[in-house]
Amino acid sequence: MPFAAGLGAILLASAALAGLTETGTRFSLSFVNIARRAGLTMVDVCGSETHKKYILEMNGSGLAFIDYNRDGFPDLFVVNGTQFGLKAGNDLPTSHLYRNNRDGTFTDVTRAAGMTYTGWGQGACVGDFDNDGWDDLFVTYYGRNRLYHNNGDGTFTDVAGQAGLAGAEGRWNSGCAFVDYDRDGKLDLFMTNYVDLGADLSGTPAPGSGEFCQYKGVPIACGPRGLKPGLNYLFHNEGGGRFRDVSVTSGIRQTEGHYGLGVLTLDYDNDGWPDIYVADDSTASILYHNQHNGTFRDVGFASGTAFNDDGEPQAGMGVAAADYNHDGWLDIVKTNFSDDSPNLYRNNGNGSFGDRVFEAGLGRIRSYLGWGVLFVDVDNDGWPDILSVNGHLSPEIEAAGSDSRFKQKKLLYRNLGNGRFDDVSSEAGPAFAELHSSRGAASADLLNDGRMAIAVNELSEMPSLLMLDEQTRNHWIGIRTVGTKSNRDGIGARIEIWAAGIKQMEEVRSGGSYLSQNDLRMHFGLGAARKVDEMHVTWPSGRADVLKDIPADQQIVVEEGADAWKPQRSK
Amino acid sequence: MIRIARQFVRIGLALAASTALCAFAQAPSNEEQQYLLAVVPLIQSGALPEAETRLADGLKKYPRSAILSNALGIVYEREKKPAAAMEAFEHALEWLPTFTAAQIHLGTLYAEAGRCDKALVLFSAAATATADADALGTLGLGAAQCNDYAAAAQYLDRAHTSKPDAAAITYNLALARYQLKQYDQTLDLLASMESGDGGQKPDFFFLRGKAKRAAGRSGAAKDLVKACELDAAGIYCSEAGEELIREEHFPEAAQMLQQQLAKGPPTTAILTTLGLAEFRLGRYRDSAASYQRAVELDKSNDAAWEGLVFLRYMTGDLEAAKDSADRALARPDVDFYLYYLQALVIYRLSRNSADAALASLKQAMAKNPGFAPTYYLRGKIKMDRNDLAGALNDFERATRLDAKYALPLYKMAQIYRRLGRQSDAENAAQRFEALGAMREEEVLSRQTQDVLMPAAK
Repeated sequence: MPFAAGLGAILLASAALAGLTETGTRFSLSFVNIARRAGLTMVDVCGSETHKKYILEMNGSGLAFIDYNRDGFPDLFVVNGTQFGLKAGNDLPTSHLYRNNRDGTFTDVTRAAGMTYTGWGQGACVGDFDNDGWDDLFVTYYGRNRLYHNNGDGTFTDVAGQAGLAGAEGRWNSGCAFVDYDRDGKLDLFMTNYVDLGADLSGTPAPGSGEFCQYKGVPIACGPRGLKPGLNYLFHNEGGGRFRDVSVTSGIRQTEGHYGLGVLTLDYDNDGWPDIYVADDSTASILYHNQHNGTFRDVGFASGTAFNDDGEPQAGMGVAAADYNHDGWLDIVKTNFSDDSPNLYRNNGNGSFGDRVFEAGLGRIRSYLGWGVLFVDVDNDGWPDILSVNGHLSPEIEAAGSDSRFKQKKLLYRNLGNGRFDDVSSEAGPAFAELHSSRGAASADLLNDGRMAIAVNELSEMPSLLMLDEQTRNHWIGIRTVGTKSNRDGIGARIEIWAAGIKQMEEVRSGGSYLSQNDLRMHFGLGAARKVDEMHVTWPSGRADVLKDIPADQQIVVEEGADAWKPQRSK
Repeated sequence: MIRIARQFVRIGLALAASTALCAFAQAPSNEEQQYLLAVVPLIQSGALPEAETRLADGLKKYPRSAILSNALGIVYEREKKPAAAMEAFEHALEWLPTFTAAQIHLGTLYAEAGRCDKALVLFSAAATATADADALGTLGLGAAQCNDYAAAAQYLDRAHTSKPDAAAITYNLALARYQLKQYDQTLDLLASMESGDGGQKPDFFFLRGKAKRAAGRSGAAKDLVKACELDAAGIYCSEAGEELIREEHFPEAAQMLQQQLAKGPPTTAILTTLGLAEFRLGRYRDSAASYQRAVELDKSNDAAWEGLVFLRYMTGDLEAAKDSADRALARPDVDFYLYYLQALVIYRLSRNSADAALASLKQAMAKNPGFAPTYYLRGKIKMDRNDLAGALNDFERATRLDAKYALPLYKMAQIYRRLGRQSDAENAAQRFEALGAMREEEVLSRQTQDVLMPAAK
């Protein structure tokens, strides 16, 4: 530790006063949507564009940043759905893999990569499940999932069937995350299921036919309430490319009757073991506490993260974690339905959370329906900001003429460093004035220059790619973890950094947001600090590495056990 | 329900002459009767001052003449001199206590003056003595005016048996049955008059709509809308709007009410019902504007203020909500709910303003100590301040006041856990889960039924 606790607190305060961060100044960054000129031109397909008969046609899909070719630049996989009634021979929709050209553009390599499968794609998460050094990709579907094994030559092979992860037809798999829950060095997989629609959807009532089939008097597709909830799954990595379903024996199934969507892994109680939070739609959200013996216990209710502050269930969609107030404990943000507020669960450090959404200034806009959500330090001031992407269920809701429209703006809340956030959406550039019905969202430093870009999967449209049109004046550091005893990606590793007296903390995380995947590399804004004074990396294996005096404004690689860092080399 | 009572149809205006004639059977002298018969044409032709003079002279000539005093009472009634009329009828009954016509007239005047105890005694006596359908109809109307719907139904039922085709009697009987919650009988009576002229009037559709709703039958909104179309006076239209909202036909409600506003001057009832429809449609800006107009139209209307503050609170426009609450509370003798709303707004604006929120809650509790959410909110504030015992007290009190109130149990479970009382925590959690909490959106929508619906009245 660089400082004793008391001294650290003094230094923290003085550093803030000295202008280490730029909180309090006017937000002057401008995001533009460069998707079209970047070549991200696929169009999302999610059932009918205009008349959605089933809830399956409303939820859209996520996306994933994955450096599949290990060139040091994050590539992008955009999950896609399909439509009913499409026949073979048509130009069938597929998910798309875009290779980062390192110049602000991408090349569509879907076909070359062997990813031309058509189905009701939902979410994606990244993890090197076989520790071969090449990041693999798991994609959830309504129907059979895909586990794309990275062959290391620009191609992928679906091995979900052999691995035991494909599941059955008719299962609506939604969120996912690789997590080494037993810390054995191999990535396991957690997966939520949303609604049990069955294989032929015949049991689903018609739009407008019941209590849960309308929005403000307008008939829309039914659900999720009134429909049979899906189940959550945990698969243990047995090695040799095989996974074993431990959903029952691990205690995951003791909590049932939820409509699971977003998945977040985090060590919320700082005990060194990864826990799992699930954003559930219309039902209590779940916090699976890791019992250190291969089992979990749902502590959502007890911890205060199942409901809002009043004990009311919400329609949880996306979820993210960060230590937004720099107190050394991971906090959670979750998006919810319109006519409601998101949650900002501040970690009390004693196993409980308090929903500080109104206190933090995040509860004022209630006409937005939030999906993807990120803690991302867009201005590199050292305080993670919150970005949420929004949009309503279907175009049919427009008939109500309500203030909550099908297409909505994105929201950017700047972290003021005092527990409060400021809505700077209207000042954050033209990308935040655009109207879309957004779903998944993920962030990455696309050009390794410290500018965090945000990719968004837009329902029935091309994706958006939000890019800052200029550099921030603040400094930053990017970190890729490479496990040796731990899983190769270092997923679950906790990184603490000290720069100019401020301590920040984050974890390497698979999955998150709404059915999406951020760049696995950590990103920290450093404000005016030109170097990281000290960095602690606590690996899932339990090993802790300490690194010192790392110059800012670069991507580095930290290997488990090396007690050293090296700059990331771009191939 | 007062509103319904006011809709009873007046059927007694033609009663004066006929009931006066009834008095002939009650033994006045021939001279008195001849004197009265000479004055009746003056009354019927509207020559009231002359009739009054003649009757006053007659009473000098025939002191203690009940029929002349009764006739003089009728003249005073027509001259809109209720005190004088009452005195004349009282004299008539003093001199002839069984004088049915005087009983009916005096009872009606008593009822109109709110002296229902005396009125109902006279109605009962008159009903025993008469079989005349119109007289019984008048007695039924009077009893209804005194909220004695059982007596009203009894008198009107006899009148209806005697004159089954009299639309006014049938309608009034149906209305009395409605007030007695005999909805099927109400609807049967209304069905019997549907084909006649009475079945085309707005009152008919209005009552049938209300009865259908109360009986859980379909078509309530359709009848109420028809009543609104036939008479755009306001009351029918706001009720129709409310019913459309209850049936979750929000766009239709909004459209109908907007048309209503376009036709004539705005009323608080129409504006607040429109505000509610817009709220349910998620048109919050429009809804706030409607409530704002309602408040400007009638600043004394607590419910309209409550609607405005509540709407702004739930849509996140907290500064505007606080401003509205402050303005509403600047008026004298304000409803407790506005203090509660003010506390909600203040506390959501900033937890640093908890003292101000507590002060508002104190006012709300003083005015209404039986409203559970005030104790819940105070408990939350105490819990934030780590006053766990105080919070627990408030949460327990909230659940005692409202056994179906789930939210305090959630907080109680959290406190018990913090206190290490695991068993109590589990118990509270189980009770919470058994009650089944709703999403905030649903809670708020339900509250709109409770809060904004009354605003429409």
